[in-house]
Amino acid sequence: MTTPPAGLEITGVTVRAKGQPLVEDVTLEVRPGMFLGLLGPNGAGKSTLLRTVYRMTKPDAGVVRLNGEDVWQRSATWVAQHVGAVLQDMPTEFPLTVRDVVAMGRSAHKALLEPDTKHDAALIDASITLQRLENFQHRAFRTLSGGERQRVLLARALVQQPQILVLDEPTNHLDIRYQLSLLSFLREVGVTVIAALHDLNLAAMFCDQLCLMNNGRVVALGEPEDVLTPALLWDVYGVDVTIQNHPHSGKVLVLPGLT
Amino acid sequence: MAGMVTLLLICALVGLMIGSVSIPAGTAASIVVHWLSGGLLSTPDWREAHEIIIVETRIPRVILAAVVGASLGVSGMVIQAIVRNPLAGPSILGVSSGAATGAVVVMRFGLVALGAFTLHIAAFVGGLAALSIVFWIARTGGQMTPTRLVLAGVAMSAVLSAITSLLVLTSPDPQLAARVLFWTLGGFGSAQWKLLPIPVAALILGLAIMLVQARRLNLLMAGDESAVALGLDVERFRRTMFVLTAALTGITVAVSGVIGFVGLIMPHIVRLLVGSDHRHALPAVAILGASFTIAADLVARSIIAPIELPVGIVTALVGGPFFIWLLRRDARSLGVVR
Amino acid sequence: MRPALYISAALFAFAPAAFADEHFPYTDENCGVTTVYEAAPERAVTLSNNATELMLALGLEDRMAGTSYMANMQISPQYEEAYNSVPILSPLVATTEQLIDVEADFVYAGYPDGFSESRNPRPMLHDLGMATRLNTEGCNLGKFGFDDLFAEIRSVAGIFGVPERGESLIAEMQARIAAVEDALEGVEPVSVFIYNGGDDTPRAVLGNTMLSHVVERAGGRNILGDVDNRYGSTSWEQLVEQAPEHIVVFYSGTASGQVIENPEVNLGQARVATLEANPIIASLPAIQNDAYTLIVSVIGQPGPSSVDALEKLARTFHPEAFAE
Repeated sequence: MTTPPAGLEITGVTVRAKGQPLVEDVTLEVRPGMFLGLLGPNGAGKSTLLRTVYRMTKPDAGVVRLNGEDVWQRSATWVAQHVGAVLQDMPTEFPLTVRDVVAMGRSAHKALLEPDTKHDAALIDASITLQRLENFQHRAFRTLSGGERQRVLLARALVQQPQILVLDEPTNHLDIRYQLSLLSFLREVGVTVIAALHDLNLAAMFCDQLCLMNNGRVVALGEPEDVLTPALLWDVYGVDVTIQNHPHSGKVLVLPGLT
Repeated sequence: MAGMVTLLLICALVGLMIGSVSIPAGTAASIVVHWLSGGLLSTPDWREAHEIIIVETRIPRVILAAVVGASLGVSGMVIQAIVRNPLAGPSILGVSSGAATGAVVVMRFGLVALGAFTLHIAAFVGGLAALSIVFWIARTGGQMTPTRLVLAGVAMSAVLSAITSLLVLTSPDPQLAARVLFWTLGGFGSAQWKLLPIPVAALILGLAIMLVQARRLNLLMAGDESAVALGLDVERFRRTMFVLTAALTGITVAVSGVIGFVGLIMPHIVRLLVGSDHRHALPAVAILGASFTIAADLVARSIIAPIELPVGIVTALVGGPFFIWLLRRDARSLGVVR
Repeated sequence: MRPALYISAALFAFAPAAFADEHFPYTDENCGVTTVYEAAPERAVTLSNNATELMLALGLEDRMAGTSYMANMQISPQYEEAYNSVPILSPLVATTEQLIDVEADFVYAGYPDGFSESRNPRPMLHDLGMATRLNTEGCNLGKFGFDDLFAEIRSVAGIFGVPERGESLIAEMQARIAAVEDALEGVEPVSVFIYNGGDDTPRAVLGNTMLSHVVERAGGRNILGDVDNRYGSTSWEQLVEQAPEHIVVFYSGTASGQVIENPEVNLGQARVATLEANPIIASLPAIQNDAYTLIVSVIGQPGPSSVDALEKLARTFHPEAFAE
């Protein structure tokens, strides 16, 4: 499941809906293999920005480049061969099994009538095993808990053999144990990762770089200790915080102030 | 799958054995063998009239029922995937009524511009227009909920049937009412060999295209956003499938009238039996839809013989309760409808 | 297999290869369907009571392979013996399979029920090698009267190569019609509603039917005789407004083929009871005076028994004219 990590360049991207900007003039670069955490309050434009990467939303201005190629100049299939997206949830009107859902990830790599090969089956098996879903694979997706679903969707993104993983709040619904194991997995997975996250401390602990957004704009971009400052967090979230260093890792630790 | 093919063959055979003239099963079987082998096997020792009954009326009737059932089954399955709603179906979403209205417009105004295919094309255009409008209504102003879609379909069907009635009532042709009644309830009484080429060709072509696209249809079940992320150009794909299902449904309506619920029920049963993957489910729904429709036609013409019920009454009697059960079950198991 | 002789969309030829005298080939024009008969059909099947009676009145029972759709009504007594000599295929309209089974070569319907989209479409029967004819009243081409009925009789007699039998049947009918007209000389027409059942809205027999014409010839005036159609719905209000002096209650057998004991009481009188139970029309002269006449479809549909209907109606509309 090892693929070379991709580089992502977002340049001057603006997305509007009914005239209102959701994302405005965002420029950022994620170097190959880097894990970028996207932070910001609800409505900051994180999900919209991610949608421009997996080619769901076409920017009104600006360009999203993957390995130097404009994703809107390439087909949906090409993008799906390079970008694996883990969305917040999946609709469950149909009785799909876990394995059905994971197998969908192979679609972009298959010609129209090409049958599933042993190679595909092996990739699907490996991904299911990696996410510890062996015992669930024939169960209906809709009967799973939120955390289990998240792992199925991650497994599906992995069988896409992506060079970059895009995750929209992947730690929602997860208890702390799964949050930690998911984030360490993403750190180790060896491809470029861009994830919208809520928990500032987990973001600081696992991400190489953080991007703090507010009202559709990038407020700060850089190392965790440069982004997670009391002044910036006051501006963006309107809360007082104290910054300390983690006693073991030395990473930035954000403590809400009780002033 | 082998079981389903066997079921289809059994339904077809029983369909050939039973009719308003009783022909001994053995004779009927010999005639079928004789016909299938092109006259090589089994020597005729039967009345010529019996051979004509089997070959010229019963075989085309069974084939027509099978083709219509298969077309409605696959159309229903694909419609459910493209609108991502298991409560959808060609008759629920007004496609069938649209097709019937299209056909009635042609008959009412005596339009024959497109020759022998006028009726088929009108039914297709009517079906496509109805489906597009229903989809548009259900999507306007936010998310498309299953309830909204079904309500839009019901409203559409009501409007269309009113239009059809209006066309009939204002028509100078007194025979139109009888022909339209046949259309609204459906039936295979007019089955003949020469009626078969178009629906058979449409089914083969339509099913082939759907099978080629089966993987993509699977992606639609994951929702639009996931489907895009998995490499599908959702909008364009959905449009293509809209046209295809409307064409298949329209052609079935043109040859056999509106036969409800086949396209709703069969996909559900098939998903229970072989799962949701369209690569397996589409062939299965074609076979099961064909078997069901042949069986429904058999019931329709034998249950209160010599009266022949319109086959749509039989499918509705089976389908209506099934739909209600589905609604109740879905309300429970899905809880909040997304 | 018997070859289906398919010549063109509108032109069919049927040739049972019998001898042909100067009468044949005979060309029959029937509501847009043109059929050329090289010889008289030998295995005719009728799809309604009036078609059956018309054939029997021409003495054609030996050319018939079956009758159908008496719907549990009684054939007129004068045809009973001939009727019983021909197989009865079904109490309802014979199915296509039954037509093939009896090797029909000519299928005759007295009203449009016989040939419909869902059973026995005419083009389908043509493909199967059967000629067809529909009594032209069923084509709803406009007003239909005795002259049109005579033309119908001539057509059927022509198809079977027995024009002289047609002429003598017509002459016999004309004599009876003339007798009725003599008796009715100078009477004032009574206004008549022809009721065809219906509870919420009354169904009416309208202007383009034989029955409406018969009512007029019997010294009546169909209050809906101007309506250019065969059958249709009206409203109880209309009846109150028009105040008919007489109501002709038209009834047919059961469409389901269900056997009903004593159809005259259970189907005919039942319709009278419906009328009498309706308070809206209670003040109509016809209701006040119990002026009802039951007409069963055997004599109400266009055929040789239409004269029976004429005589029956003339006597109930104007009993004084027939007083001895």
